[in-house]
Amino acid sequence: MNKRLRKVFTTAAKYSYVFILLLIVIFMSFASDQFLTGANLLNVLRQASLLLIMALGMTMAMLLGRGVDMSLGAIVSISSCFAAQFFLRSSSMVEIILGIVIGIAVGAFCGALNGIMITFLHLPAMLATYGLREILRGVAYAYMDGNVITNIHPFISFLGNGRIAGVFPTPVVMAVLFTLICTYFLKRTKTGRELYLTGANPQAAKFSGINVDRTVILGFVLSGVMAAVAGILYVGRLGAAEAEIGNDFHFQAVSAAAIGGVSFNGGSGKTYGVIAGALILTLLNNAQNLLSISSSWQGVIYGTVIIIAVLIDYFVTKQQTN
Amino acid sequence: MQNKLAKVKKYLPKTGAIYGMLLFLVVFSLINPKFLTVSNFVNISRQFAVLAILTLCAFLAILTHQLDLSIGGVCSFTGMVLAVLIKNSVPLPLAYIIVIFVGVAFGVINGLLAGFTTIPPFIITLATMNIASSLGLIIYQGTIQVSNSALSWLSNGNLFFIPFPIILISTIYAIFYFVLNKRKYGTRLYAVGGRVEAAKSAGINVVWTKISVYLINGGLSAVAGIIMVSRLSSANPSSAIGYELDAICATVLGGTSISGGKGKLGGALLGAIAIQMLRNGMNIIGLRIVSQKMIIGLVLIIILVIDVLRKESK
Repeated sequence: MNKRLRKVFTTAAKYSYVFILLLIVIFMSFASDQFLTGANLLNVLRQASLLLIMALGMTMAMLLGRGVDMSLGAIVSISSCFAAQFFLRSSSMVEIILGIVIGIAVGAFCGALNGIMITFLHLPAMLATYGLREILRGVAYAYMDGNVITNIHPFISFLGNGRIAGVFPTPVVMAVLFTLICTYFLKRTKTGRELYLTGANPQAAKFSGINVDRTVILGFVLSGVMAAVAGILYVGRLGAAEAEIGNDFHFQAVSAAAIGGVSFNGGSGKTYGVIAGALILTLLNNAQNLLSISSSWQGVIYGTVIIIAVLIDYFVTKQQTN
Repeated sequence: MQNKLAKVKKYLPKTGAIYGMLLFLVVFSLINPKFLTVSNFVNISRQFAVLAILTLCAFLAILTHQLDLSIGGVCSFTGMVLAVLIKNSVPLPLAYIIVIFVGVAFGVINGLLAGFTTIPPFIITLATMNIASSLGLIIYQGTIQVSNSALSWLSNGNLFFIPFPIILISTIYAIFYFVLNKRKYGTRLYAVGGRVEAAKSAGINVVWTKISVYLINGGLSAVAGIIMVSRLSSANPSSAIGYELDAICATVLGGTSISGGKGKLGGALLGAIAIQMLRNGMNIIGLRIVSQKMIIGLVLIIILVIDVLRKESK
């Protein structure tokens, strides 16, 4: 295969998520007459927004090149459960704001725990976050003691289900906002670029005077914060808070990021890829529902998708370094 | 004084698991006298087979500086396949062979991806774990009852008055102990995990050595799946979910370094016994599954920290 053709293929593969996205949309428009309805597309967008926020957080962690944040789902659970105490129908606005702050603080704290285990205790990231995941779940379950908080204040429901100015769904607006913030942070701020470099080339990062430990902790803190935000939005969307939530969120977030081209070895990945990844996963889920495919297939679908995504990423990286 | 401390430190790596075991023994016997009975220990020893086999899988993976998260999922899925085969009157020996083939098939997928790409094994086996569990759900979203006396003898029967699971575990571990310590393959495994560059210059085919681990794990996970169905007289898609964490915990508890190349099989076995006792003890005092997982998670982190401290003190 001549060089030019190979280059075309590599670039196409790099943006494969665009093609896959288009493919799914086109296929579904023919496969199900419910797909292109306003209600369905709105639902997809809302769901994808929540996944996108989590995937953005996961991206922050993955960019560092230490591993993925396996505790993401557990952080969603524990921060939403702690915060939901303040989201009752009887709560005042002050309490609600306090709840949001507490939720995000819990997420940040858990992220910091991850970061500290990985930097100062030198634990392998995957296993450390896996261990923290089980610990956080246990704490969340013990805290909720089997209860589900259901009388959620309308403002929180608005965050999860409402529309801003009657038109724009709130979670979508928030997802767009966070994407813009993350993109700006990663591209234009010094700290953001330090994050990239720490993952891409840790030695070079150290020699340029970057505090690698602090950057790693920051990356995981951001992951925890995004997880907490997603958790609060989930409470609004579901109208309830329970400890069970988010059992496989880490896997979905990793898949979305991987499809979007975020490398597991760190240092590369663009936020708009993650948008596509979140959309693709949500559309696959939607397709499953509309085509009456049993939910048992979800593991096979997600597992296969992530394998395909990482294979594509591997071949693209290989071509680029040749 | 320095000398005495150094002498004691020499024995520390392996004793981590023993301390853990003693600690659990003491704590649980104090909390609940039912723990220290012969019948309970016989019970534990029959349950132990699945974890022991999966710990061996985790040991082989960690020894070669990899991780295999799919062992629990493959164990559950192969159990479901076995149940279906038995329900369809497939003769047992053939059913066993088919099931092991299925396990090895997963090993092939894991191995090819892990061996020929730079994708972290963690992600690969995470994906295959999900695929395997999901396939189990596709077969049936609940528990399949299996009643087959020959099958359940594997867990509940005795051979020369010794519970058969003990004999099975001893045999498997003896074989691997022999291979690991007295055969070139074993040396290759240690070399590939410890110092890859040295292994390569010594002419060891690192890629195929790493792949072989997944193939073995696939087969062994299937054996574990068979034993699990035998023990429970039923198959369930999520029967072994979470066992991979126990297995990894047991391996590191037994002195195997997470960065590979170091560790003794005997230590891993002790670690598995410790984790099994911990699980059994937690069951007896009635801890919820979620709380049990929390304790295992905590133990894992503590063990990893000790592993790191041990490495840095060298």
